[in-house]
This record gives sequence, structure tokens and C-alpha cells, in this order.
Amino acid sequence: MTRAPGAARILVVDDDPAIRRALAAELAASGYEALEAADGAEAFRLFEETEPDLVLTDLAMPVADGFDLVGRVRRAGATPVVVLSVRGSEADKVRALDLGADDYVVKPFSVQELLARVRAQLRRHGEEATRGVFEFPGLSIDRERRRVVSSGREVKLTPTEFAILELLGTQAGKPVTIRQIIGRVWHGAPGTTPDAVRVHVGSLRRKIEPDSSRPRYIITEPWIGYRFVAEPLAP
Amino acid sequence: MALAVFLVASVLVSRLAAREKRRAEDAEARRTEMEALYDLSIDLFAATNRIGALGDAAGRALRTMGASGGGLVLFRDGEPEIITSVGSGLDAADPLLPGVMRASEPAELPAEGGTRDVYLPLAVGGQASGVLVIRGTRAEHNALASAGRLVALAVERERFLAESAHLDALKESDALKTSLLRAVSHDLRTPITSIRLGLDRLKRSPGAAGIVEDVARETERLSRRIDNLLAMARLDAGTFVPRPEPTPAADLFRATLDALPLALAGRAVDVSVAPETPDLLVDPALSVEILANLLENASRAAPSGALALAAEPSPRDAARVRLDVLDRGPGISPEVKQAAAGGAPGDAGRAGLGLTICQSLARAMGGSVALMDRAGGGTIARLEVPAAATPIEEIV
Repeated sequence: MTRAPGAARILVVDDDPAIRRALAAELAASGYEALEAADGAEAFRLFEETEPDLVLTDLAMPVADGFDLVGRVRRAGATPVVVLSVRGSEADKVRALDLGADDYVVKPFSVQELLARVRAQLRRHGEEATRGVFEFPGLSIDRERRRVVSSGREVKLTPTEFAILELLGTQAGKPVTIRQIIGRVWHGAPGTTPDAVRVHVGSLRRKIEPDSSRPRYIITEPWIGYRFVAEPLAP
Repeated sequence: MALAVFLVASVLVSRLAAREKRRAEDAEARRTEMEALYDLSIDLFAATNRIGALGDAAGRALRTMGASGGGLVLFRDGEPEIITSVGSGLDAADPLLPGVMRASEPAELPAEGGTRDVYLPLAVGGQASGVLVIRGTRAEHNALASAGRLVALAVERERFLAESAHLDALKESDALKTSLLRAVSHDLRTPITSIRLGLDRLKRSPGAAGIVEDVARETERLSRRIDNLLAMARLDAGTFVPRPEPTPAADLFRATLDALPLALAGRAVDVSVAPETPDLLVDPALSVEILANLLENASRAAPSGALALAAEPSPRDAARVRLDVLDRGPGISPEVKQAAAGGAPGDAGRAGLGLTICQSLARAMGGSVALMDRAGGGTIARLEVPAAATPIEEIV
């Protein structure tokens, strides 16, 4: 594929040259403009010079690690950041997400998986976040009238359930940590436990999921939080 | 009369003076003892924290108490061990030593020139751990008791030092294991990430697609096996402790299907969760690993026919949930049955090893794995896990 003028520019940051080159080649093959950096310090210099549309970064790097980079990119603006992590490092993922990362992929990952995440983040970032009605296949969330319609019928939600659904739905495709949910829905009220979040999400799922064996909208991200997985319909 | 008054007064005054003098002498002696004890305490506790300084500590205590000899004996597992012995010294067979030690009461024997031999039990709080013997001393009881307490504190400190050194060594060995496993994990996964990315590129070259699919599927398996072995190694090394978390069965099934994109290659898998199934109290990553292994085994054992994942509360135990992986394959081979019953994994070949790994991982989080024949043909691989406490519904 040729690089389209105005193609999204993606900064790839990984200290392993083989992975970095392969990622850059794949992104270029999918029509993105890919830039490479081997550590967090070089990455931030390139970030400031080239203003990429998305940053894809490893977390463990020798000079200025990925966490540092996530924090600096987030302080500089809203550019989406996807982090590459390894299995079993949930604490790292939560830390990166709480620092402002938008998503993560777990090594080893397939190119399709990675490209899907990149597309979702670029699309999310391009969208108007202040829309009043969010439409998903089989589900609509009307933020102004506080109405939820699932499979054609209106669903009665408690205020807490609605607030959780609104938070997850407006961040569709993005993992939301328990801490972020407590912060946004309960405004960080002391004493709010992960268990309380779980109870509300459980009853929310029973109300909006047509088949509880195969959740279509809200899935659990173990040890991290939840992710709204349905693709939004075009506004 | 005046003379008598004067005599009485002078006798009284001289008596008073003598009493004052004695008091002054006593006070002086006590001051000297206090100073000596103070010096001893500084010596004992300003000394650097090193193991093996106890002998010096006891020697200093003996000198401070003006002893002609003596020593320190500690009891380890009931056996006396002489730490230090000065002058006329200690005899490990001295019956007074275990006596004083057991009774936790000091003992005194008269010695040459009006001095005493004193046996002090060394105890901080509970049972004595040793005896300090001070021979030929004239020191006062309180001073001796204080010296004994100081040496007892030194003994305790040495014990803590030894324990903390032991803990440090353990921590170091744990840290070493953790960093080794981390390095191995990184070293194994990095090339696999590269291989997968390379394969994805190769897939686009004409003619290579079929071979690439095979290699990709095998890489997926290899990657999962590495995960299995690393999880086992971590459990074994004690650097990984499963973290159970209330998890809906549907989420586990979904993640299991996601973990096997190539092995299942578009095969239909029926998923069902019985309506009254409670959330599971499991380590989600470990559970997905087990279910993915079981489902992959099922798909290899039964290359055609529907596969299924099913969750339901255990009919025998309300606090447990059954997660079944079902196939319509040829059923369980006798070798695997033997491995499932606890035989050596080597006897049963690959399937047996996979099963043994699943069982170990399941046990680590309070679950179990069993294979059984399925009515109408095929196999049920059953992971049974604890249920999470039922959450209390919000009342609005």
C-alpha cells in the first residue's frame, strides 16, 4: 500500500529493534506513517517535533520508561496512547491507564489485534465526545433524557447504573479502571469498594445484555476494570 | 548538767556524722556501679550490629562487676553452649547451669575472701535462653541484676540479627528467582512476538498462506505452553500467588475463545451459562489458561463436531461452580485416564502433561480438573472452582 497524503502518523516506541521494525512495517503496510524511537526520551523528542496522531509504546525500556512517556504525552494533550505489555503485569497496565494511556495490547499479539486497537483509538479521538445520543447495535444511550433502549425496549436503570453505562459507553473500546469508575461515578467518595462497582455492573449487565452467556456490551478486564466492546454506529 | 548535755550532743553528732559518711560511701559505691553499668550499656549497644559480638559483651559485663572469672552459656535445643569463659571459667557439666536456666531464678554461692559466685538467668520477657556466671564479685544485687539484663538484651539482639540475616538471605533468593523468571519470561516472549509479527507479514505473500497458517497455529501453541510452564515455575518458586477475583463465567468463556483464534480456526463453540450460576472466585488469567488448554485438547482430540463450553452450579456443592469443556471425539484414552487419576505425566505423553499442568494450576486456586466420558460419546473436561459470595442487590 502507498502512504496516503494526510495518513495518520504513529510513533512506535520499543527498545527491541526487531519488534519495532516489524511494527513500523505493518503500520506502513496498512497506510499509516510510522516513526520509530528506541526509548522514552527519544520518543518524547520525536513526539514534540512531529506531533503524531497516536503513540504505541512498550512499557519497560532502559532510558525513560513507557510510564514516564505516557505521563508526558498526556500532560501535553489528548493524543491517544496504546501500550504494549506482557502477560501477568496487570499492575503495570492499571498504572499506565491511570496515567492516561488509552488502551493496551498484550505480547505476543497478532497484527490484526493491534491494528484493530489502533483504528479504534484513532476513531475515538476523532469523534465528538459531547454527542447527546450514543448508538450501538441494539443499544442506545440518550445522555440528555437519561434513557436507555436495549433490543427495542426501554430499560430502567438506577442513577448509578446509568452513570456507569454512560462512562463506559462514551469511552467505548477503551478499558476503564475500577479507580476511574469510582472517581467519575462516585466522585471518589471514600469507602467505595471495587465490590460495590462489581455489584452495580453485574445488575447493569443483566438489564442490557440480551444473552448473559455471551456479553455483547460490557466485558470484565480482570484486575483492571471493564471495557465497553460494542462498536458505535456512525452518528 | 552542761557537761552531760555537751557529751550527749557530741555523741549524737559523731553518730550522725558516721551515718552520713556511710551514706556518702554507699552513694559513691552506687554511683560507681551506675557509671560502670552505664558504660557497659553504651559498650554493648553502641557496638556495631554484628553477629558474634556476644562473647565480648559478656567479658565486659564481668569486668564491670569486678569479677575474677565466669562466662556466658546459651542453651540451644536444651544443650549448653559456652559462648565465653574467663578466668576460673565455666564447666558445661555444671548442674547449676541448667537449674538456673529452667527456674529462671538467680543462684549465689559464697566464694573466697567474702566474695560471691553469682548465676544469672538471661531472659527478656519469657523463658531464659542462657546463664551469665559472675565469679568472685562483691557487686550489689541490683547492679548484678542490671548487668544480667543488659547481657540478656545483647543475646536477644544477636538472635534478631541472626534472624534478619536469615530473612535477608531468603529475600535475596526470592528476588533472584523473581528476576530470573522475569528474564526468562521476557527472553522467551520477545522472539515469539517477533515470529508472530513476521508470520503476519508472510501471510500476504502469494503461495505461502497454507504453511504460514500451520506455523502460526503452532506458534500460538508454543506461546501457550511457555505461559503454562512459566506459571508452573512461578507457583513452584513461590513468586506467584494466584489472585482470585469475582468473575462472571461468561467473561472467562469469552476470554478463552479469544485466546485460541488459530487453534479453533472458525470452529463453532456453543457457550452456555446456566441462569442461576454465581460469579466465580478465581484467578481469571489462570482460569483462562486452564480452559484454553482443555479446549485446545478437545479440538485436537475431536477434529470435527461441535465443541461446547458450559457453566452451572455444582449440584453437589452450592459453593462451587462447574466449567465444562465438551467434545464429541473418541473419548478418553486409557493412558490419559491413568494420568488423570494421578499417574506420572511422562506415562501419558503430551495429553497427560497438559492435563497435569491444568490440575496443578487449578489446585493453586482451590479448583480441580477431571476428565469423564460424555453420555452419547465424547469427553467432558471439567474445571470445578469456588463460587464468589453472592453480591447484595442495590435497593432503589
